[in-house]
Amino acid sequence: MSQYEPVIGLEVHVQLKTKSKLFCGCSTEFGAEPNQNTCPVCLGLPGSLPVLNKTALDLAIKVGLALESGISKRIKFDRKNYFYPDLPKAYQISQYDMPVCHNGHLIIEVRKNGDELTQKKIRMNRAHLEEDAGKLLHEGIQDGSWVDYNRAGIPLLEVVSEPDLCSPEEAFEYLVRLKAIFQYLNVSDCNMEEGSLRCDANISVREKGDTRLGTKVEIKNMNSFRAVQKALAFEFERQVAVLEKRERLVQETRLWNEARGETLSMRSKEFAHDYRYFPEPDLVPFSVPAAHIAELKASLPELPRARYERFRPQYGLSAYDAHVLVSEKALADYFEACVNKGVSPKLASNWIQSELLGELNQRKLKLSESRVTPHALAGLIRLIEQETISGKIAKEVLPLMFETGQSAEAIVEAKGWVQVTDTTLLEEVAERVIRANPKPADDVRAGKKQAVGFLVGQVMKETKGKANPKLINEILERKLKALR
Amino acid sequence: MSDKVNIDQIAELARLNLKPEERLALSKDLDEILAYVDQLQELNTDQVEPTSHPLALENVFRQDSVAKCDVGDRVLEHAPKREEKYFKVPKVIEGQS
Ligand SMILES: [Zn+2]
Repeated sequence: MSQYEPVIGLEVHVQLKTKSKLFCGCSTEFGAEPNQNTCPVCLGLPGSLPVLNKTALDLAIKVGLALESGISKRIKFDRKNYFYPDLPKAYQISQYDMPVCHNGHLIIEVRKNGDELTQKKIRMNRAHLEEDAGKLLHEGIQDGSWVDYNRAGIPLLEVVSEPDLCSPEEAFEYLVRLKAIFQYLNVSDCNMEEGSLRCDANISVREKGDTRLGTKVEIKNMNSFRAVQKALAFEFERQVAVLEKRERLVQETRLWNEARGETLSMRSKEFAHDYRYFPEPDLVPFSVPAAHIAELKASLPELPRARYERFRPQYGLSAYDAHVLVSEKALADYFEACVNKGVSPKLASNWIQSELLGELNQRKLKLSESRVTPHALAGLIRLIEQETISGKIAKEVLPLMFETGQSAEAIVEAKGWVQVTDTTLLEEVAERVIRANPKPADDVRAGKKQAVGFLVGQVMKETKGKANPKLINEILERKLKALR
Repeated sequence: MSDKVNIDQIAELARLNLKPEERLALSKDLDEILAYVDQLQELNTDQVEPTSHPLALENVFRQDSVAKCDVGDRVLEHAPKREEKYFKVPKVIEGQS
């Protein structure tokens, strides 16, 4: 088994964030009544003419620039012909030989020998614009299917990678990084449930060290990045098993079945994929002036890679922490907003990654829906830094902040959870504890340093966990020395 | 019968049911078209920019604004088959084996 390796390429379709469709003025709004966001153009009625949405082209170019790809001198559209009722025209307007972007790349982090992260360049072959198809409904419909053309004509950018990915994990990582770029650029909502981000995968296997490519299988129907990873892992094992039996693989398209956890053959006829592309005569060609490309380039925001490079030195974060934080724009924004309130970046990073995300997860909330704002979280962290409360108490405060929407200060005050830093009070408690526990006290005096832990625990117990541990330690040590 | 044109495959891809006489006539037409293209191929076009459109136009855009059309219901009324607000088509499930 181990002498085989997978060769993986991904095709990602991302819905570009425009108000109107790619070639007509119909709204792209999700959830409209069936077939209401339609017009003669996107319904393919005779006599209608498509006209390109300028914003869609600009967004495609932005993605290309972020992936450091070339922008084609000449851009044209082609008809991809096939018969399926989700296409009212019996062809899809796509791009064949003159796509918007060509030859880019994306850098991902892969784990080599254990925990060490190393960078790997994944080449992008091309990114082209095309219109989405309509939606078919089959379930529960007698003798036929229903068609809703609201999606037909919605702008998609298809980003095609080279087969540079060598494992299902690398494929997952690539998707996370690519999605982050789309989010940073604000070119898409990247909502997989609403279909604004989709991925098909190509995978073949070969013996390690072999430079030739094996028989390629296309997998479709994955509805999450994890599903892509699982489908690829399943398909790799399936293909290896076929080869080990000395049988031949068939070039085909297979569908991922999430419930069964396996890929199933579509058994399509061989020439079904003869799309007979030809230039779309209804659209003129395009050429983007260099000055406009430069303008778009200047408008690009800070991208995940640059933010990562900045986060590490600026906030003294580990490679891992910096990666987790920049992987989602909203998360990185939250972190920076928190740190800007003057709290320790390291503490903020820990609290966001473990406690905050944990609470959100439990409450099935997105970060954007968090009742606890960066400002409010910074308030909680500041209480820890000022030793007003211990980290342990802080973990009890956070859920209350979610429930009540109150500030950490208000909750701590109301609950009387302020850490006891009053030395007079603590000295009294310490003396009482020493008197009540002569044996451990003697042990400490005799030089058994670890015995002090028991006494600290007793003081904590008497103060209901609100005493400052560092202070108790100091007081106990001082008192035990004085009594010697 | 032509050896250049596989008329049956072309017809299948275009979802056309051809009568025998149509099949012959179309084969002949396509052969003639291909012969004409062969003739064009002989020309030296090294110095000629490829054309994808007959008009000397480029960069025709529309701005990204919504224009409500309201044609949906009327188109539905003319559909051969419809149910509720949907077009209805024969059941075709891609990938069902
Ligand atoms: Zn339309």
